[in-house]
Amino acid sequence: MFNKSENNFTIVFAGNPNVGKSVVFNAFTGMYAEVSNFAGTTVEITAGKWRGKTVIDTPGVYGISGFNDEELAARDVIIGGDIIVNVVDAVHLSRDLFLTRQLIDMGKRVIVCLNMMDEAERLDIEINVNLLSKRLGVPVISVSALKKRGISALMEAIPSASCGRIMPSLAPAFKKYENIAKTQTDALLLMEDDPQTLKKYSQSASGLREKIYAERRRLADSLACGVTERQSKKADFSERLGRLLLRPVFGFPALILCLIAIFWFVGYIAAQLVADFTRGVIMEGFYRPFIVDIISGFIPSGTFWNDLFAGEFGMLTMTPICVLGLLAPLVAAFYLMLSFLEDSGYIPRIAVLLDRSLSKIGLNGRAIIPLILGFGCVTAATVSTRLLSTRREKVIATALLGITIPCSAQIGIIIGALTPLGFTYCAIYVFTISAVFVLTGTALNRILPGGSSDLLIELPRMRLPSAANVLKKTYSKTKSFISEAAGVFLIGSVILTVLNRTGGLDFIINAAEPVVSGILGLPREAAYSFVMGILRRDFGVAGLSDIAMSPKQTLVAMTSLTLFVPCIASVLVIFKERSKTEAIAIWLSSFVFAFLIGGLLAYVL
Amino acid sequence: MKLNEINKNERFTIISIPDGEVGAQAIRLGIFKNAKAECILRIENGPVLLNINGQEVAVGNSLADKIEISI
Repeated sequence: MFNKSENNFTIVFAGNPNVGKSVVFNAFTGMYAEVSNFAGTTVEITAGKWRGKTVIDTPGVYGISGFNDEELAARDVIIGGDIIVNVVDAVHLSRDLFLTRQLIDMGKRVIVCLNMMDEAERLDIEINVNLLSKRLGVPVISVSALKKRGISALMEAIPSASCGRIMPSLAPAFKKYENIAKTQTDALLLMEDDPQTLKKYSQSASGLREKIYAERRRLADSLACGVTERQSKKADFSERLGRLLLRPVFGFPALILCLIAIFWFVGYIAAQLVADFTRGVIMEGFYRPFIVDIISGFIPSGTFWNDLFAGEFGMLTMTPICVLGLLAPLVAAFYLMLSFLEDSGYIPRIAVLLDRSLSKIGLNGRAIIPLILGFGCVTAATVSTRLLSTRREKVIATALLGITIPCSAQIGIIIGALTPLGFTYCAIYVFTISAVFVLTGTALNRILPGGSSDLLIELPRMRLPSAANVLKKTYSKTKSFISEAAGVFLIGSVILTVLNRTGGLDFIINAAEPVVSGILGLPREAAYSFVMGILRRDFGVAGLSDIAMSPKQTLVAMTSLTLFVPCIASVLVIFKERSKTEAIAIWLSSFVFAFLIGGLLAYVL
Repeated sequence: MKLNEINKNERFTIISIPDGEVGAQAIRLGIFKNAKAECILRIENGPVLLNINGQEVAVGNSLADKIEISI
């Protein structure tokens, strides 16, 4: 993680999801913030500086109970924090005060940032801020982060953060742990049956957690009630829209429109228009000749070392050209759409809409997140399966991702290749892939023992996202993706250059040709795409656009390549996340399916 | 009766929720014994959408089957 020196005063931002925490955080740290992964998880922690002090943002959580990776990360960062800025949504005070109470009970110095005051005003909600501050025992500052109101008042008030009044009924329990726990925080964690803390002090669970939570919940509710006055109860546009999107009649068409918009933006605008420019004109047009010239000035062309750096698969040619020229615009476009959807509050509604259907294949609505991410990058999506509760669900989601979901690198080329062929061919492609998806999911649901876990999610208000926040998220996600991809590509460059020079590559392709043309009825040159597709998905499909193929052959090729094994990066992640048996089974299945279904299509059409 | 038997616009009180982690998470979202709520939407064989204290929460069908309520 990052180094926390002893003199370094740390201010930690904590709050529920969707309270606008990042917007407030950004107001403190500006553009310069460092993102890192928490202790080998996918949880991202953002850190920056404000007036010489370290400021850390934590993932939005409902409580610090260690139910998932986000909560564990948030908890550890909060424990190490000197001051906690608790961002709270004024419109959902009752919900948010649970975490506030937990932070206060932990004995931390807290200051509450009451955000979204502008929305509260619009909904005629009045909050007695002074009374709330008195009852909690900590300063409460009203803010409207999007409108940039109240931020300076918040900044000036930071030093006055204080330890609030703990929940009265906890006093006897705290007394009991006085001699056992080193800090008040540890004492609270012990009381709440936190496994790690129990182990640290060799204590057994007291079973008090549910009681404490229920009381805290009641206290939060009565606190919120006591300081809030809601004049009107009318449902505003945002609420009505939110509910409309949940009803299948409107929700499904809206979802389909949304998906079409994403595919159009990623698959056409980014993958074709922008990528043609960045890869074609800039990279291939200027960069490649430029770098080949430079390298050939030092190392004679035709030699191994020249090939390694500037050859067809060169580390300084293939890697930057593909990563910056092709992948970067695609991935940026995808993350732009995703960040917009996340901030708008639509994604939990998609989860609700699809929960019924997903439970038929052993998943619940939350699995929609990895599945959507898969359309951006299957590797990243596989890692995100960690948010699913049971191992069974993770296996099913990973299998579906590895076998059926095409990533952004492929989508562009697939759309480009299939659209000219007309509606029927596109429909057959979508139908075939969807059928494999449903069949795989249903089969796995039957075969694997156990059931799916329950859906329990909160639906945030629908909002128009803040452009600055969306752009910042897009930038940071694209940046980390590109840095990781570059690593894999560099390794790929080395492997491919070696294989190419030793004749190994030709050997593999020759061996593959009879399979590709025999089973799939494709021209022999297509074998190259399949072999390359093992390394990176976009290598696979890209090469196909240069080969002359009939419409039927194009359809078979695109379908087969979509189902074909996941790229090397994904394979590595699958092996890391799942057991060896599961990973091998998934890899083999996609290999078999690609040729089985492709061959079937070739035969039937 | 069970939560998944509720109809749209009906108000109810929660009698019991499951134990364990799911129960603790439910409490945090406002679903606990004696809490009052209203059903906003009901998807057939699907999730139940509740309004608890101004907060909208979706409960999956199988979980709703394990929560006892009274109208």
